[in-house]
Amino acid sequence: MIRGLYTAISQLDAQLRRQELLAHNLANIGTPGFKQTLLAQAERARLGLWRLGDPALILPVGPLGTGTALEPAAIDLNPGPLVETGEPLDLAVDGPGFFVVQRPDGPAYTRDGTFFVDAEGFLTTAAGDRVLGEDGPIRVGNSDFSVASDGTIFVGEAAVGRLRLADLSGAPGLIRVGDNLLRPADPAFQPPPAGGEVRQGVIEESNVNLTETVAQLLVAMRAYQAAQRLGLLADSTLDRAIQQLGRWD
Amino acid sequence: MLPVMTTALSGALAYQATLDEVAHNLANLSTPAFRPTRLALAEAAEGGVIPAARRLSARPGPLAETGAPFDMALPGPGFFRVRLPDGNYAYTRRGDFRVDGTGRLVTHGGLPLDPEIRIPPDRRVEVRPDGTVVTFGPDGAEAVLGRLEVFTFDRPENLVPLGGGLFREPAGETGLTGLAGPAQPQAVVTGYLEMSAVDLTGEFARLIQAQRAYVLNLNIIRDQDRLLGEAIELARG
Repeated sequence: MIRGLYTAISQLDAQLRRQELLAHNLANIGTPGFKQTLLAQAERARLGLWRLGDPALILPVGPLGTGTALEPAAIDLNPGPLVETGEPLDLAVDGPGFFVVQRPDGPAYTRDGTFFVDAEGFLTTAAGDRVLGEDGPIRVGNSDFSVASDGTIFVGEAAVGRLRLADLSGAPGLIRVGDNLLRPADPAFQPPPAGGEVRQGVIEESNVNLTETVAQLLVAMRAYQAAQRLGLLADSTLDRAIQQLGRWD
Repeated sequence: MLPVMTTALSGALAYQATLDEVAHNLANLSTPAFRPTRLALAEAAEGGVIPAARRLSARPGPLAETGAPFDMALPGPGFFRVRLPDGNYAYTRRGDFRVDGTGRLVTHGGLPLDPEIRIPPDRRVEVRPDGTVVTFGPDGAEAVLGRLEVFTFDRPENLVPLGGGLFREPAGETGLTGLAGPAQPQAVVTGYLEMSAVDLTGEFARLIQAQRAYVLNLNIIRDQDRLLGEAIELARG
């Protein structure tokens, strides 16, 4: 019976974590270039129960479940829909590549091409991190620029740099840095250059699927409630065992 | 359950800010020379979402003919400069000018153009395409009253909106001072106004999206609250 209580609690933990991750996806349904978290849940290891005692009588009693847990969250790298904005500072990658930006603690990667130009004329993200080209940060200076589909940025006729695009699909794991940035979980992993057509005046929207995510959240809330009941049931069974089974008058 | 609520709350706040912004853009659908802004949202590292930065559209609105003698539009980039009551400069592309009581050419809000141009009463006045304002004497003699200067900015999207179609230079940044452009043969078009640059369809799409996302995040807060309430009830036995 106490075992049942632990099983119920493992489900409460898992469903709570699931709700947190789903709420994070839903809060970012309007964040350009956002990549949703995918969830998978798995049964915890089953144990084998054996009867001990007389060596001749060591017999299997049966399997014993130990509950459930969420697997480490994966990040869904599928592209979100590309939407025309007509704004020259909106860039999107049609293909697998991620833009590379310079953070104080090393490069980070994003699909959000809502760019700005800082006071020194460098192309930056909304958070102010500089966007990296093949040869370092890209300085567009003070004039209008155009972007060729291979990522080369032209100011007038002169090429000022070519956007670096990185392929994160081979990374063994990704972590969220915030500011719409991702980074490989293993700092030693160097993402290879990626292909992809860069489009100007286009923005990539969040890849969160609204209907699916809302449905998953409802299921998680119900599963949470069910686990609560299960816990109470185990508790009342235990209560009965203590109060009634162990009583003789 | 509480982290879920704070995450959903950050979503509700971010989409509320988006709604406010879209509403402001839509309200200025017919404001001459209005440029819409866009709020860039960013994922928060601790969970949820935050409004990261606001960006002014770089696209000018279309020019529409009005026929009014002091309606002026700039076909190219650049701004008219006006002097604020506190003596500072502001910049605008909104060119529905009029003549005030003292004969100065002023904006719709009554701010004088800089350099100042005085229009003599009861005289025929003409604004040339290069911005030169001329008047004609009773004998037909031409006299130059001044020139409408067009000031250009390196990155107009970094200008700070003051409301009423006015912008000021961002404080403490370099390379953004407005410079009077050289006289251009086609700097100013008279009898035309720049219309609002708001893209109605695009703004409506954003409005619906932000509204849905707002309601959704509020619903999550409500459902979580109910769940929490039930948990408390259950624990009470």
